[in-house]
Amino acid sequence: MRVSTLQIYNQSLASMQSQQARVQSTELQISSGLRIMKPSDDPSGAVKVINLSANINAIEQYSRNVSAAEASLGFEESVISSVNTNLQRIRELVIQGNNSTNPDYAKASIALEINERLDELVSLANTRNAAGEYIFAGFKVDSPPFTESNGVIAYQGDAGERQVQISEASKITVRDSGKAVFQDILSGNGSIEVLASASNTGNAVIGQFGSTGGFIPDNYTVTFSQLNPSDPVTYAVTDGTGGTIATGTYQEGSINFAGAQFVLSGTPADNDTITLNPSKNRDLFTTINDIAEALSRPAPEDKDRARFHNDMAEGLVNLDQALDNMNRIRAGIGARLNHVETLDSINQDLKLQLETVLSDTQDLDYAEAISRFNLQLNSLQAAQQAFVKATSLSLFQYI
Amino acid sequence: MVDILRMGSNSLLSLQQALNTTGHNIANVNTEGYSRQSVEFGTVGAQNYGFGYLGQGAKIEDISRSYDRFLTKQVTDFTSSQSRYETFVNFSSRVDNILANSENSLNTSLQGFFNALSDVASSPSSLPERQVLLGQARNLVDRQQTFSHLLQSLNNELNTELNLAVDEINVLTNNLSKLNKEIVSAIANSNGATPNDLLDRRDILIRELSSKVSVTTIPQDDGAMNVFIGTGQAIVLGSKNIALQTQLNPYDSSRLEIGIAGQFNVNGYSDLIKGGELEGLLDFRNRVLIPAQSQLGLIVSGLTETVNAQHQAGMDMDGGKGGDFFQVINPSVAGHVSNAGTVSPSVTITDVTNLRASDYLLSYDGSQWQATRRSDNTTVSGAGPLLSLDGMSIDVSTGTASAGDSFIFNPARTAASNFSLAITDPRKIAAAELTTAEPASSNLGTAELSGLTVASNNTLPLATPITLTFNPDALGVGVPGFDVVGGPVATLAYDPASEGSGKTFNFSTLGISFSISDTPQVNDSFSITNNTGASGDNRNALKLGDLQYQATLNGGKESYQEFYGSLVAQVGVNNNQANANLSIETVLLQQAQNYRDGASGVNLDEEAANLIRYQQSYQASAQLVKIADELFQTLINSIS
Repeated sequence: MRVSTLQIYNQSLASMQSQQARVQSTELQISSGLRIMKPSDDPSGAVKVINLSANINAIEQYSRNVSAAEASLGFEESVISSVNTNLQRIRELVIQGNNSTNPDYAKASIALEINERLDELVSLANTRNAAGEYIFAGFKVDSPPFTESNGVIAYQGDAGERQVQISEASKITVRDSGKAVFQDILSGNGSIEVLASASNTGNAVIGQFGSTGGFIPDNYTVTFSQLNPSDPVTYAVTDGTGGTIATGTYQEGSINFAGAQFVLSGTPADNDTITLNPSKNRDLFTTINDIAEALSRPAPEDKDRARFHNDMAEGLVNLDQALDNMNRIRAGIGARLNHVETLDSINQDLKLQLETVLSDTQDLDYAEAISRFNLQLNSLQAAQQAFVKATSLSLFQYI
Repeated sequence: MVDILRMGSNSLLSLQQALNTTGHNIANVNTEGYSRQSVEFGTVGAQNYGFGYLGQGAKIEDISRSYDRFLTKQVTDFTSSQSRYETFVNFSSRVDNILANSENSLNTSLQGFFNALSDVASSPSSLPERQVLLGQARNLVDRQQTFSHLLQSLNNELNTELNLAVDEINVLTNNLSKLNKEIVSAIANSNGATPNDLLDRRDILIRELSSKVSVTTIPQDDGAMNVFIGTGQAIVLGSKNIALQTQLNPYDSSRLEIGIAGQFNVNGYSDLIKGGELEGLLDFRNRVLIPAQSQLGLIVSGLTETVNAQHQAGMDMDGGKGGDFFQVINPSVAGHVSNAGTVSPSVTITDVTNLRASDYLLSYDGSQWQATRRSDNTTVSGAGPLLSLDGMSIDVSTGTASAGDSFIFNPARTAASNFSLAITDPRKIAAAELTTAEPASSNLGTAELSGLTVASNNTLPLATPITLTFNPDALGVGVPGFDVVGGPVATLAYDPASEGSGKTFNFSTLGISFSISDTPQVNDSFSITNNTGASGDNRNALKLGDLQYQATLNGGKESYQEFYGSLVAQVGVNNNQANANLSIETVLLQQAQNYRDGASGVNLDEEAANLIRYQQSYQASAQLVKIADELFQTLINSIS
């Protein structure tokens, strides 16, 4: 084949230029440490890099959220713990106070301490976090959730519970509302409550009470009657609509009806009433307030002492319900903290994995790149030498 | 003896010409497109002397150029396709590089926006987090706009390149027509001898022309060369040239199309252009630039629509209803320049999920409107005033249309450049929800009200709180449900026995929905109220954050991030392919050039050999003259 002189120059030049381009692209890879410099280098790899970086970035955000969730849950836990300590102390005071031998002044001083504890509880319920938010106010974090007016402590917040996203698929509640913690506490034993009327004149004191699965929820009233002091005391049970569902002659011990029963000791007087209702929500502050009020009420007569004992017993079961509720809340916080920690460690594992894949996808294999670089340099050098040799010969030198 | 002398001197003259031609070859060794010339010798007709024919020496028959039409045509063709891919790659690698920059990546700013949203959800009552969210949103807008401006400036540059290429084509065809004229007259004046250097020059011009646009050449009997582009559009006919021109796209003044001077067609001839820089430019515009703009716009439209819708369902820090978060962008509709009617159609986005990154053609035939998706020619037609297609509603009720009117619109192509924030006050970020639902404290049953959702087109706030009270006989004896006070209906049927796993209710006039599950007791009640003072509420911020992973685009198949990924992949794949094609075409061009140079190029060693050959022949011819002279002297001397 015929070869023109220009061809020798052009071809060698083109080959050297393309080799230089390859050397330059390898050099860029080596200096940046990246295998994919632009999407066209590896379109599917480039998309993978975009998605992986986004996922890693999202996990980092979840980590931040996890820290916030842990801080928030931890803070709430410590407040609930203080609430618990106070409740335990009040419970001790109630037991200490619920003693007929206590003179009025001793009970009054116990009432005083209970009132102080109540104030402390209110201030705990109005706790603010570092950001100045009232943590038990639901969503209404800007104003104190528990305020007193006319001796009644009322909840001003709502039932909102803040959630935080801690993984792509899960959100976690990082705060309980004051309604759930302090307000929605079921009275009595959680199923029913048995209350003696404040105007009872007998000395009947309510003991244990309970219900079976067959309990028909309704508000029942047990009315005692004794026409003459010599007559036996009888009772009649009416349901919410006024219909009588049971009658009987009273004797100390338990009274059963509609799947519920309670124990009564002492003797009720004519027209004394005892009501038995399904448990309803009774807030912690009312419970404690009622206890303090019962303690500070003088009890000169039998009927007053009976009322006192009934009130204290009622207060005690309600207090136990509140303690139960606090324990439930704490258990919930613990479970959530656990969940958060597990998810965080899963997230961290995932992040590590993603980072490994990301590095595999976009990072350069230096050993391979450097040996490729050397090879490219060598072949460029060879091309240059060949060019010089091939062009140094000419017939004109011999003319 | 006189014959010998004449033969010798003729030979000397011929060989001088041969040496001259060799010199011309050597001198043009570096001339682009030069074809090696060679002298063809022939014998001078013999003379009959009776005893036989006596040769009369040599003469120059022709000076020919080593030229192969097929090889030259190959070079021309491959120049066209190589130049097409080179132009394409030059432009598409710019887009590639823009996407490659991870700092500028849209994805980074999208992620930043959603991260900031997550921080707002963590502390909704804190202003600094809200300020950061606004900053991140502004950043997102800026990135989108920067990206969109870069694409726009590529479009401007592309228009400049189109203009330049067309100007160069016109200069080349003008020169070609002049050369044709010279060649025709040179051939006529020399009894058919070929003006080699002019022919070479014409080949070079044709090659240059083919790097701009693919051409077909047809040689004429008189030596002229006619040049055609596309499907037979002449641009050089003998000594005349027909100029190309650029003209505005009839729908879109930001796009230039190729036209032909003197043959005005409002739509231009761009579709006919094949090969060369022109096709590279037009191809880049159609396959990379416009799709990239449309897809980017789709992300922007999608974000705007979905974020706004969720934001409107929320409540800001001052208790107000959430407004638009981003400015609403409605697709702009461009009418054809020759539309006769006054109709001005408007397009609104109704469902981002079904939006497509395509142009749409809207046309009126006198009674029916037809909208055509140009990517695959799917059509919808109707008499108006409303047409809906691909998540858009097209309103043609403004003005009157006349038959033949046509419009082009794209749901998203201009969205990215019009992207902007609608709120500037961090307090206006609607992180809370407009309503709140609460069970009454006195509830005794296990029933729960959950999933309270507000639609973007809600009519909140509520005029009065809504209370739902369970009543076993709400809808007649034995038909349980809720008595509703303050709501749009008086009762809601709910049977805990069969529907306890959850039933969803929708107050569509208010724009709220919720579900109730489990078993309520008689008189258990729930209240739905306006959410006042709830600065700690983050429910709407969480819902806004959920948009990040929702498969919103492309028929509900891809999230924003995934959609962006496919945009990057598409640009990458296009560029990758074009690069591969470019290297193939470059090799093919080099090969063709090699074959052509092998046949037509100058080899200096060959010329050196020719020099020696002709020199020796020249010396021999000179000897012939000398011998003739000596013979003559011998004769003279013998006489004297």
